[in-house]
Amino acid sequence: MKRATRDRRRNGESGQVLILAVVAMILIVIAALLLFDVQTVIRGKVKAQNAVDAAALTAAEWQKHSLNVIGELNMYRATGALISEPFFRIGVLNDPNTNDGELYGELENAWEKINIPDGDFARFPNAGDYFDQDGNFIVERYDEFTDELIRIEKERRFLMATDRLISQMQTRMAFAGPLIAFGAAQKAAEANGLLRDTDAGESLAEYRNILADKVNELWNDQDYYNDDAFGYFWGSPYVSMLNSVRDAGLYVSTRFTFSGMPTLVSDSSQILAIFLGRNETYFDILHRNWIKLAPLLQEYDFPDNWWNDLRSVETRHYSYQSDLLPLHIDFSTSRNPYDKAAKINAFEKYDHWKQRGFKGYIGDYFNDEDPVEYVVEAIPGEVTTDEVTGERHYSTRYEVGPISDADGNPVEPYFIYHDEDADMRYNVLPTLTWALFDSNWRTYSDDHMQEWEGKMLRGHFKQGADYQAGARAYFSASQDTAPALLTGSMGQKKRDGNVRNNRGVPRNQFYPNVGDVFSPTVAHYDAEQVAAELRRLENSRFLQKIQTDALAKPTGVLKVKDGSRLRPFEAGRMVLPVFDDTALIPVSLEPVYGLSLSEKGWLYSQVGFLPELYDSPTLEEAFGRALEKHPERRMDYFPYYLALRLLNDPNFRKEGLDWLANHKGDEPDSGSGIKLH
Amino acid sequence: MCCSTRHHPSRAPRACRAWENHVPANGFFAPGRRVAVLRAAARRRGERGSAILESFLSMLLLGLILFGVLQLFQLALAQMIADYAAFRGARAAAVGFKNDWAVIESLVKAAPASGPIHFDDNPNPSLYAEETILENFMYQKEGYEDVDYSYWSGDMQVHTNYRCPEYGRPMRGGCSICQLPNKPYVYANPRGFDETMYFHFSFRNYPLTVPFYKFVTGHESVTISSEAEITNYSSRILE
Repeated sequence: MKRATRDRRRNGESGQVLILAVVAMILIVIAALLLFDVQTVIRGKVKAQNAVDAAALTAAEWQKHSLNVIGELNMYRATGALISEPFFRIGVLNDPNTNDGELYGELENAWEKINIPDGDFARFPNAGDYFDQDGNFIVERYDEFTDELIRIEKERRFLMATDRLISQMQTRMAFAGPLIAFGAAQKAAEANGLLRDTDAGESLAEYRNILADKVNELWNDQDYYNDDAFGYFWGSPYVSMLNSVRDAGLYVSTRFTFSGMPTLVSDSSQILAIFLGRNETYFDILHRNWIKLAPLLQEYDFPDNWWNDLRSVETRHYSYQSDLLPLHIDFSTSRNPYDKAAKINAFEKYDHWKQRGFKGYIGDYFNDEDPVEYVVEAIPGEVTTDEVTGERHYSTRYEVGPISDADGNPVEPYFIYHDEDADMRYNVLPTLTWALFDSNWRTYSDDHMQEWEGKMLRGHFKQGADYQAGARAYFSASQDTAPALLTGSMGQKKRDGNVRNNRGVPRNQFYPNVGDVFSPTVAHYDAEQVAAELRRLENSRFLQKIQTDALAKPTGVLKVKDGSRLRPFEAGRMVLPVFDDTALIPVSLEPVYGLSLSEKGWLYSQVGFLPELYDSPTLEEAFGRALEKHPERRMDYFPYYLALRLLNDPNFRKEGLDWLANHKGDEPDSGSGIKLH
Repeated sequence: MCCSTRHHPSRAPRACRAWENHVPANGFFAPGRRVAVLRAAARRRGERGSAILESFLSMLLLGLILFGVLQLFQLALAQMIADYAAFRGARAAAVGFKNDWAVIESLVKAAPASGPIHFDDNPNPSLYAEETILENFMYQKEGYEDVDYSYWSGDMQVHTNYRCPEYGRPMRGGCSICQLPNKPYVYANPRGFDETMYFHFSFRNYPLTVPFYKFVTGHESVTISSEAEITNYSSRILE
């Protein structure tokens, strides 16, 4: 055998099979690598989707709990008002026909007994004890009467204090609940195997810093940024909670808007501000995506130093709740909720009253005035002299004060009698502060319903479920596919060089020619550095990431007595504990706005670079100023600076306008934008 | 007799000349060595066929192993893609999309294992063009309602298996009659119940030639199937 082998080797026959074996091995290894690559990508995609789903559902679950707690507190407030003895008439209407032996009827009977036509106080609680049959006040019982008023006043104040405390608890829940939801979502994503998203973490830290600065400014500008929410000074605890969430690590990102977030405005051109206020515009510029840029190029003239017209103003949207995953509740002190509730027959008795000829709303019969206001201090006001008679008139102002003075001694009370109080009742309802659903909770529009129910969804919405939830949990994940060597961009956009851009629009180059755009004396960066940065950007387009997102919301309907189901906000928009489940919904079904936490560069540019444009003579100078403050953010600012440089180039704009002129009518469809997940 | 008549003309002309002259190429000549060379040559002459045979058998074996392994890889790849397609289809249906949309979602996700695309307007589309076509198909834009891959019919409207009695008829949701489909196609079907959404995805008659497949599986053709199961979230808001 050895001899035969030796002979064959001598004959030059050796290696024939070896070559084939080597080729086969190479093929098998490549195939195996491809297989493992594909497996890595697919596993990554499934894992990312499951993790984002878990994060969204977890957050929605906590939003559900938070809303229910706030709803329970509303119920507690209502109960507190109802059991308050002086206000027992709440909800009783001036309807003498209601005499059916029920509670309401009994109250009406009581009212009838004390209803003496000419007595202003006849309808006052226990008025019969203080007025004779002719409606005259029994002077001998004055002390008892004032004691009764003081007792009522004490109870009213107690109720108001309770109301404020409940509002404070609701506010705490509106801050802490969503942040717990946000933190829990991060843990769910981590438990499902996602890697840490450092960009999102840094964005959250930037948001926290902005907010902390605002909190420090509160003392100087209370009107703008009120830190006191019904006695809860939320600023510091909120920043502290953000710190905790950030320290625990971020794995998924969400979209949000926050008070203090800069927004671009322009005095002369709204379209300029709108376009440059969007992150996507800058990448449309870099990609020469003329279709998307068409309105800007065609409608704006770009005068010299056009960027000086862009001012960066802080968003002054302030509400008593977390910016992250907000519940979108509002606090209101008015009679509107009752009127709205009555309008949709949410009150059980309302229908009964209507059948007996009652017209109008509860608020019509319960005005905001109280019959007697208890005061302890009469403050002399201005003194005026009648020019004709020479009489002097004093305008006295009364202020509500404590029942006792600073030393705890009883104070002689004063009373102000409000003749304008039509119902002569203590009416506590309009003075209570309720947590309400804000306008983000609304029914779907007809167009929306037609598109979704008719075309996209597998069924009709259940009764009471066809609404857009203000509380929505949107999460996205962006994971590297670095382990997948061969197919790192599988399933993502793979572009074939200089032929087309990402919307199928033919273009000359993927990125601009450095020499065309940059003069040799570009401030801070020479052409070589710019070219290196461009290469980095271009390469980054091919290092695609697995990106996915999910949207979930708490679900629930308001079940009313007749068996029908109302949307949760249909009972006077009052938050009630009606949420019993959570559901993943199509991402495109309900809008998600705001800044993505994973868009770190955009956030940095919004707060650091774009505000420098306003009075800057050149773009380079604005860029330089921004870098002076944060030199470490060069890479984050750069794409935005580069895009503005391009937009400032008349040749670039002409190229776009020429392309648009040559492609009239054959522009590619920009897509429906509906994601099938 | 010249060796060239016994061998293929392209085979080793230098060795052939050396055999004719009986002289080593370096010109060294010795009687003892000549005998040894002659003996070795005779032995080689007798072994030549066996060497070819050995090489052939080795190559055959290696080729079989190679193609077998590659086919296994292809099978595994298709299985993974099918798993992913089923997952995406199930999720789309679970969040409330109509079955048609869920099927489209799964079909698009199954494209990497579905063979070459057939598109009338562009018979030889690039990878980028294919992505654009798929994107348009995903949103059912005008002109893109029917996109065909070799292993699936994009519109799923008409039965593509002409051996099946249902041939030419609408087959949305798949056909349970045909047992011997001769053309590859996919079967994608979401089945939603109150709390769970199931999605079955399979490549039927996948173009693989697996020996003894019928013996092992009992089926004539290769079926690569996968089923995904996800909580039916749509039941919370839809009826």
